[in-house]
Amino acid sequence: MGKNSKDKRDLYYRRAKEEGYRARSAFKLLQMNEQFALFDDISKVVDLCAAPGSWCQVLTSEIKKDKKIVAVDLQPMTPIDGVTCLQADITHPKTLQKILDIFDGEKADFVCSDGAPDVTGLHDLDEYIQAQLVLSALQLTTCILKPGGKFVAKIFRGRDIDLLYNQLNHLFETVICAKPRSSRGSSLEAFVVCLNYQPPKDWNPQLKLNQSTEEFFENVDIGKAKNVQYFDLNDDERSIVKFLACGDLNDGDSDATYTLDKERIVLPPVQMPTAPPYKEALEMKRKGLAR
Amino acid sequence: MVSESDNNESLFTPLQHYGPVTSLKIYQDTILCGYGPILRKFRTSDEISLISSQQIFTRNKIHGISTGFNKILVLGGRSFSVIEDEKPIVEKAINEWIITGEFLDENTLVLLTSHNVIYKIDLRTFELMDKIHCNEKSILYSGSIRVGENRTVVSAGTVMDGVIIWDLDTKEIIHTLTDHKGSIFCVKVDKDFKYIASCSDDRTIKLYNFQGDLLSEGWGHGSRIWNLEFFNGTNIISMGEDCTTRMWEYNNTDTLRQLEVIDDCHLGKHVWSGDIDTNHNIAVTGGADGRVRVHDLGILNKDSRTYTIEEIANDAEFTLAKNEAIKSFVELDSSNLVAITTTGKVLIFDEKWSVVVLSDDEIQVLGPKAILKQVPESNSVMISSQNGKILLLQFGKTVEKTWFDNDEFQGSTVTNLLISPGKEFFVMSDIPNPKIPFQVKKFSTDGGVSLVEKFTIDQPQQSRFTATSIKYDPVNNWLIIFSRHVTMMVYDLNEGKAHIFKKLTAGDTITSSTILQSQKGSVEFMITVRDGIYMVGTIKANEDSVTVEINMQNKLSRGFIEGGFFKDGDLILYGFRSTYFYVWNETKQLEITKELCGGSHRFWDLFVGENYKFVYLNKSTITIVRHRERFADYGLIYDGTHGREIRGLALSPETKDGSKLIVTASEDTVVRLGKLFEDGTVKYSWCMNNHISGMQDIKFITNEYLCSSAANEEFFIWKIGQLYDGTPIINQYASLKPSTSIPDLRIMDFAFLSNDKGFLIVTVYSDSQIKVWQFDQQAKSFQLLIDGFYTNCCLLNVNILQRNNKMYILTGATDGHIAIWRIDDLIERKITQLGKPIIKQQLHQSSVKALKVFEEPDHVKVITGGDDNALILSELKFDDIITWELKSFVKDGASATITSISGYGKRIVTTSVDQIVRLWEYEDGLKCLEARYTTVADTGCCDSGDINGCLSIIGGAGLSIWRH
Ligand SMILES: C[S@@+](CC[C@H](N)C(=O)[O-])C[C@H]1O[C@@H](n2cnc3c(N)ncnc32)[C@H](O)[C@@H]1O
Repeated sequence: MGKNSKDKRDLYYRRAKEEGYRARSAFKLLQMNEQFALFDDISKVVDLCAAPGSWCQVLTSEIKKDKKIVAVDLQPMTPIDGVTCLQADITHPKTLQKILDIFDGEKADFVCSDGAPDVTGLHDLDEYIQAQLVLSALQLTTCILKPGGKFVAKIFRGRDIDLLYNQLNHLFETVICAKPRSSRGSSLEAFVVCLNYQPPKDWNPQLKLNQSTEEFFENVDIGKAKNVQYFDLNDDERSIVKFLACGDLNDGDSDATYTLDKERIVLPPVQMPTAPPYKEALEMKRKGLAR
Repeated sequence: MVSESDNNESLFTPLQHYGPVTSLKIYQDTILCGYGPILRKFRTSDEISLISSQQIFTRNKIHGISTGFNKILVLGGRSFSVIEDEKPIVEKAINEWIITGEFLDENTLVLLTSHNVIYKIDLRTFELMDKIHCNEKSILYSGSIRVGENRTVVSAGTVMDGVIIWDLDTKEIIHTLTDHKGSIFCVKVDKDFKYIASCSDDRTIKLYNFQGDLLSEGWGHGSRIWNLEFFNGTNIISMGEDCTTRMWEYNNTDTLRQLEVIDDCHLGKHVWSGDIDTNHNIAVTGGADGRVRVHDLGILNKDSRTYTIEEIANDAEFTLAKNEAIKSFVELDSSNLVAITTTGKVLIFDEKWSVVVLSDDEIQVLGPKAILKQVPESNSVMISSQNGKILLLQFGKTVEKTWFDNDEFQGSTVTNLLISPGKEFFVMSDIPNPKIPFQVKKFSTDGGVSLVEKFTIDQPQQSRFTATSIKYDPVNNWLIIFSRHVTMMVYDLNEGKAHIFKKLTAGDTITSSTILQSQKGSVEFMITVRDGIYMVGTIKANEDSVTVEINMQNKLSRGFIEGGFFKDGDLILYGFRSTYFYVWNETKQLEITKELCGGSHRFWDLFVGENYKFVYLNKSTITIVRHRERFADYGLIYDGTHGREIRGLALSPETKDGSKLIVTASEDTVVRLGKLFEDGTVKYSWCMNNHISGMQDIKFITNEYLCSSAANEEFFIWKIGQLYDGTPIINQYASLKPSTSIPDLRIMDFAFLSNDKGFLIVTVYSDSQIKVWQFDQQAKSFQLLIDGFYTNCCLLNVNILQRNNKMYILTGATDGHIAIWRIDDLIERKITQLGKPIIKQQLHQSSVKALKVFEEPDHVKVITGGDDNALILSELKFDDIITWELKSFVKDGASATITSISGYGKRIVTTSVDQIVRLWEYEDGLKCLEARYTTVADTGCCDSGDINGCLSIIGGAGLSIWRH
């Protein structure tokens, strides 16, 4: 494969390097912002699953006043000015508590999560884990987001996505399935854009450290399946939300291959990927110590 | 939108389903297999057979099976079910994902949730008795519960680095083990509570004692490890994403010793599930390919025997000469071995070595460079001296010796003696000097071996026509000589005339040849080429010419092929791959056996009878390895499809003998050809590896031809044929040359039309290019007629429309638009620029993922499905101007991305990534007749056709077949 080939196949990968973004994901957030004016009147933000940090880069430059940004990821993140970074698992209740501690009683205007697990290839499991990331993000959201606030999270559109749509519909006035043009058409990825947070009246969500995300949501009706008597199989509440493609048609197509000038310089990525967990296993193979 | 239905009076019924095997468990005398939502049971005897298949869950896949107290617990997603004899099966559910479960006792069930919480359930009433946790509720990828006499231990594998071992009774955490990196995919405690084993993202297996000390690590898996199990104390079996199953032994050192690796255990990627049972001496594995395989644990102690030359001399009571060693050997019909040493001693092995007595004179004549070969159907061998004298040894009660003389070779020496199989056989002495003819002798085996005639064949006047095998065809009286550089000679013995066919393909030596069928004037043969190619061809002769046609050619990516043959209708190939010798069933796509022999050897052979016998020389030893196949069908107890997501599929237009041909193409570039039967079963015969980049689509043009496209500008035309026994075969017929040396465009779709020269073909590209080609069938060449760009977005679909003697192309793209161009006038006027479309109409917000056209007398119906969930019916009228009209718009045609549309009769089927298959009527607007869940995830392609009624096949992470 030519050294150019990733650049050709992926317009946004190339652009990210040119514009100094740590990841091509930046454009997804920017395109959603074009459609939904997400950044209007916000100053306090939680960016979940934020590494390597391109959303943080966008947020720090777009938010002008009283900026407060907390970024969380399993992976270490190179610091960004004005962003508090936390290396932790967002599905862990303790992590959510830490974020609340950093906010110290203040409310956030916007919570976003671009989290994606390392997919296994078992589609139902992958979709479930993805949904759990969204639910964990939503759990934090209910504890920290001011009424009227916004929430954006990455989803995989699969067999149970209508369950999640339904759950979000219980908490937000508007829920939209957004597909930025910079997100590949061939991938199941999309985003839920949830506007105007409206928690149920008399619900005062309390994070408890020994409570799982599931248990947290048992206290409020968001249409999630409950344990019923004798564990009989119960139907799930499902609903479909509006689909919106975001970004201008002239912005460029993430599925297209582009012709590039032969003489052009291939830029190095802004941020090198972190070492994978199997780094040592690769070493062993290389040395012939494992077969 | 019609909601999903599950009534039995359905218009739309699933017939068959192939997909990932997500769980396996051996219990008493049965193998329990979670196959999507279906539980399949097999009896475990040496004749393993399917006892039953039963759908347990409505939607969820079975991810775990536990047993005990004559009950079976089946679980997956948030569903579970307890199966007992005679009791009806009821699907139960909790409100979150269940990781695992066990029976605590006769009446109590425990389930572990993905938040590390245990549900304790009374089985008599299905009431919750208790919810137990250890105060650590982060999300889990894996877990297991070990129930002992007086304690129960929960092992939990978290998303990041950690294993938590906790006691169910005290709710105390016993250990938090953090040696792994990344997610933990399996963790088990052995049955005696002495050891813990875990595996993860970091590709290692870690063995701990129950005190939590890390004892040993297993290195070897090439990617993530999904599953492991203890056996025989501290032995461990593991399986993973690298498609291997491995067995390990703890030998008190810090690294686990690998006892065995089963490579390519499944097709593509992922061995998802497995179990082991030392009573039945079997392991069983299940993969993403939908196959279930049983492995004989006998492989752990192979029937292998090595003799040193000293042992042999001792046994046969002779004195070794200095540096004497075995030089070569053959097998007799009686399956005894005959070997010759470097000093010319001839030995026979019949569980014991003995010397075949030759006089000093005889040994002298044969000399140190003698060549030993087996003689067919007579329990004999021939030994040729360097100057061509041949000694025949016939082994009966005594050993009978006969000498045959040869003409002089003008000082040249014989380098090989080739013998054809059969009752009448030919012996050919090969001489490296091309000026000296081959010496050929014909023998008969009637009443002992006797010489019939002697003649010579002039060598082809080319350098190094080195004969590697010969075959005699009695029907045509041809002697066929195969050589290096994939070259062969057909020698017509009637006329004494040679026909030479050079370089049938690029490649090295023809390592084996088989005559499959012969008729007057036509001989079908198969050859293997060392580089990894096997091919089937036909020699055709008529009055004035002899030709060779290649009917099928395929390349194996497993290393060198040293030989091949058909056995019970399966193609078996063998050869060397890195450090071992393999025997591979190409039809069933599995390795039959292998021997770690250190790589290709000085001298070796494979003898195939009821068993496989591999014999090889190594320095001064000879090793004899026997493989006995314990199971029918090589232990493949359930067959599947592809090991990666199916990206394209197609059914042949015609139905023959109650079946259609089916081709499927998967993400890993594999194309498979098989038959689809009325009951929905698929039986594959070939697995083609011609593509090297990500597949986009595959379609039949006619019953005989099909096309496929992929990334890197790969576009092939394939031809369908038939093997001598009626098995369909497929061969790459032509390919489109990429436009640059580093092609990086994907050919997203193509359309075609048969015409008098061949086919008119339109290809559309990921950079928005559209190309129209004339394919000339005679010359097998493509001529570019028209070229152009749509915009700069990726095209996804193309169709050719023929209206009022005019020809148009219709495209769909990622920008949500369809567009139409007229092309017949361009072709007529030889204009090569496509220009602007006549119509460009936005239908969808983003990608037009699926596009189906119905040409009606006065209009064309276009049905499109989008990434935006919409299904749209529009009509195109081709009058003086072309008009487009929206007829029907279904905003929520699916709850997520419609990926394909296929039609048959007046109905269409749509697939979408929400895993709902929908059946629609479209005549008077779109009307959904029925919507049903499919267990095939990543649902991406479909096709429909008629086999005694309408069938649809749906592909994605698996394949499902429906009747409607
Ligand atoms: C697509 S990347 C995010 C890219 C980021 N928005 C940016 O613009 O640079 C997904 C991230 O999700 C993180 N992630 C996945 N599961 C997580 C979890 N349970 N807790 C925290 N982060 C998680 C991964 O480590 C990964 O860095």
